[in-house]
Amino acid sequence: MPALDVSYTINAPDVVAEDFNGQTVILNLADGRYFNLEGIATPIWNNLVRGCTPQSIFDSIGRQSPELTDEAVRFIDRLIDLALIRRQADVGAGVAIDPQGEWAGGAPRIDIFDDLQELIFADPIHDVDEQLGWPAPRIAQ
Amino acid sequence: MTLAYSVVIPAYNAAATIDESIASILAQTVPAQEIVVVDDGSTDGTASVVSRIKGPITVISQENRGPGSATSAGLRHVTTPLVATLDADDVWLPAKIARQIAALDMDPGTSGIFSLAKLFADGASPDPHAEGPVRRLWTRTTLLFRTDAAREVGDMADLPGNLGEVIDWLARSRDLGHRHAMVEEVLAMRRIRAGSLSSKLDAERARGYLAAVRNSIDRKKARAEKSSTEPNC
Repeated sequence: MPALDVSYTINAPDVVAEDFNGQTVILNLADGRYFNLEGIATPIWNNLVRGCTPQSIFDSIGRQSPELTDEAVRFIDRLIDLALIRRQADVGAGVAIDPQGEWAGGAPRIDIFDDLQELIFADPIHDVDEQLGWPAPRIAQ
Repeated sequence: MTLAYSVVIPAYNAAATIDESIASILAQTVPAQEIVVVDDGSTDGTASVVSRIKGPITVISQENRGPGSATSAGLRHVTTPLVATLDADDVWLPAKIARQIAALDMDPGTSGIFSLAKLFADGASPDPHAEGPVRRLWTRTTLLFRTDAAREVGDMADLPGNLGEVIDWLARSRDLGHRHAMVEEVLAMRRIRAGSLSSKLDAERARGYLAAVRNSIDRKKARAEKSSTEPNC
């Protein structure tokens, strides 16, 4: 069970994510795994990284789609286990952000892929400074 | 029989390093039939540096479009059965292509072959005997591909921040069923500049990688959809 009344944040700088027209893709640069979110996983993720507490998200889901609440709990646990999010230390009690969006699209699901790990590790983030040109010197890991 | 090969070097403002890269191709124990330098709108005299080097070199000039576009322009030009690529700031060791062709000869089912590379600091000489970290390098600097297979994959698409285009291209190749192999020997040297990046920059620069993995996810979804709609008989 995640801590209910604390805020979480994306586990930067190792973890990066982007919303591609409603499709959330997450990449862990530390281990080369990448993740696809389905169903209400995307609105849960979006609200979590906005700083909404798990409790506020579960309450909101409970009002619209109570049958999905247990799976939402398991999904957030999974995000923590996978080290994709971490507790946000600087948010104190009393800061409430209301969840946004619809809880439509079915149960939350996270697909995990590791088939590009070696390719991602072989291509560490480069310095692409315009003055340096490319292919440019890489940054030592 | 040793198959002929060409080398594609995409280059953007690489005047300071490209002579060293080309010299390392000219020093191969198996000579390249053609070296194709694609000058991607350089403003530092890269083409002029290349024009002073003697050898079977062709320069293709284009407006600045990105490393994927430049690599693709070179791949389209190639007429040999094998094609290698090299970043304009890295170098090969003399036996690189000979070792890779020997490995391809032993395994006709392999489409592309790579090698280990040792990292060297920018400003230092790329000495393979010097101490340095070694990487299994599935990237442009070590890539040797059967040209037919490379054409089947198609163009290398530029992604945000000019990063991730090789990951995307190799992932597409794998998804076509191509097999890639690694020669477990240091056959190239990769230039590294020491430094550090802020987390904000990391996130920004990772956008190309995110686009590459998004493309991979989309292909997996399309395959799953196709297999679920195919008749089960």
